[in-house]
Amino acid sequence: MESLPCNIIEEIVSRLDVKSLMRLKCASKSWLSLICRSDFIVLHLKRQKSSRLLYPLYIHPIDDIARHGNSLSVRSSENFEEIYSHVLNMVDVKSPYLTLVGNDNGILCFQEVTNCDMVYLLNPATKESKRIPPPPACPPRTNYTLYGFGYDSLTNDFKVVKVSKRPGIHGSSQLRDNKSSDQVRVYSLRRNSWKTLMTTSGIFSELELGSGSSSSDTFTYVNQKYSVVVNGSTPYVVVIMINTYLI
Amino acid sequence: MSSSSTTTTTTRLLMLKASDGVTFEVEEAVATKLGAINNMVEEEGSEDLICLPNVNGKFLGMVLEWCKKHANNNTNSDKGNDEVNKWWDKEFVMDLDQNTLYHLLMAADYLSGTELVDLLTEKVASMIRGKKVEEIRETFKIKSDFLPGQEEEIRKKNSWAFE
Repeated sequence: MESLPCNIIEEIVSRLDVKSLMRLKCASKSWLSLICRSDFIVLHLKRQKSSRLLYPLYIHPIDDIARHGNSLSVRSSENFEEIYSHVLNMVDVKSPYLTLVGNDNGILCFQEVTNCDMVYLLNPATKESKRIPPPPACPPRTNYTLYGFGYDSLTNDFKVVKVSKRPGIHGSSQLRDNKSSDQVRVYSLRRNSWKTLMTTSGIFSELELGSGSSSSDTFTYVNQKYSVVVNGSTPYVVVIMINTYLI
Repeated sequence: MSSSSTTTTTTRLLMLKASDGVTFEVEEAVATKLGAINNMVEEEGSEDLICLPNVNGKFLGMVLEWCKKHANNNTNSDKGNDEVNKWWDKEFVMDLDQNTLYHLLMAADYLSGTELVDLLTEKVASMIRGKKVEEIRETFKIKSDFLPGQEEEIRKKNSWAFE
């Protein structure tokens, strides 16, 4: 069977559930390398998507840490049934209180409530998790911070975006004159590093400019409170506040 | 009363010639279930004899048998057709041995029989699903080429999948 053409092998393997895939990884090196290839992962996700769409509304860490470790439970926003429960194998998680940043393409992103720079990514299907490196320090006197998470199909990468807002009332022209600088930093899972995408004055006031642009090279980070649209080529950032979120 | 018999157009018959010289006479509507043949037929002035040097008679016969069933079941638009096709597909793949499955897959892929490829790849997937690593290796005659310790490491990392 191994002499079948690659496209057929991929066709077969992409039909398998994640548990079977994890086992198949152990069969031989060639299976392992196929299953770990990023284009295969995309194919597999596409095929499986309809059967395991995740709409987690709420993540509740059970606080009996001593006995069960840090257990994570994901519930469906439709019927509130538990759709996923997992004991996190993350010694790094300092706080049991976690909040969801977002979920996209099968990956969950959450952060610690008490320290928003502690951000974790979790793949519920493979049960793999990762703490992302902390972003560079915020500019002094940052008065609020937004986090967003999304899948960038252009580069086949997962990205976390952090927007830091300097003091002031957003949209005020007076602020721009005062050189208030809002910072947008983007973490790429592929590079495993942060990049400062742009530093500009008063980006929160520019949301009108980009609200209508949804070209193919834009991607959006969404959570319940806001969405951030990043245009890869310009680069151009728009933050659409659904509710003002102050920390 | 309009009778359908008055409008019968003679269905075009194609001759398909396998690698071992075996020929099959099939209706165009049956053979064109295969993308590759459909493309050849659509070409202007195509011949009625089509040589298929990559498939031998045994497997071409099986592929055409599948096409015939599906073409026949699709001519009348009964709702039960899907069910019939599903039942028939199940029968078709039920007792296929690995060697036959392999050659059928190669033939279906070569002839661009997308639906048949779907059916056969799903059959192979079902032979992997839920199986132990050792069973998969045995079924597909795979030899582990990991260095000592490598396999254990992967198992440990994904231990939940082996519970």
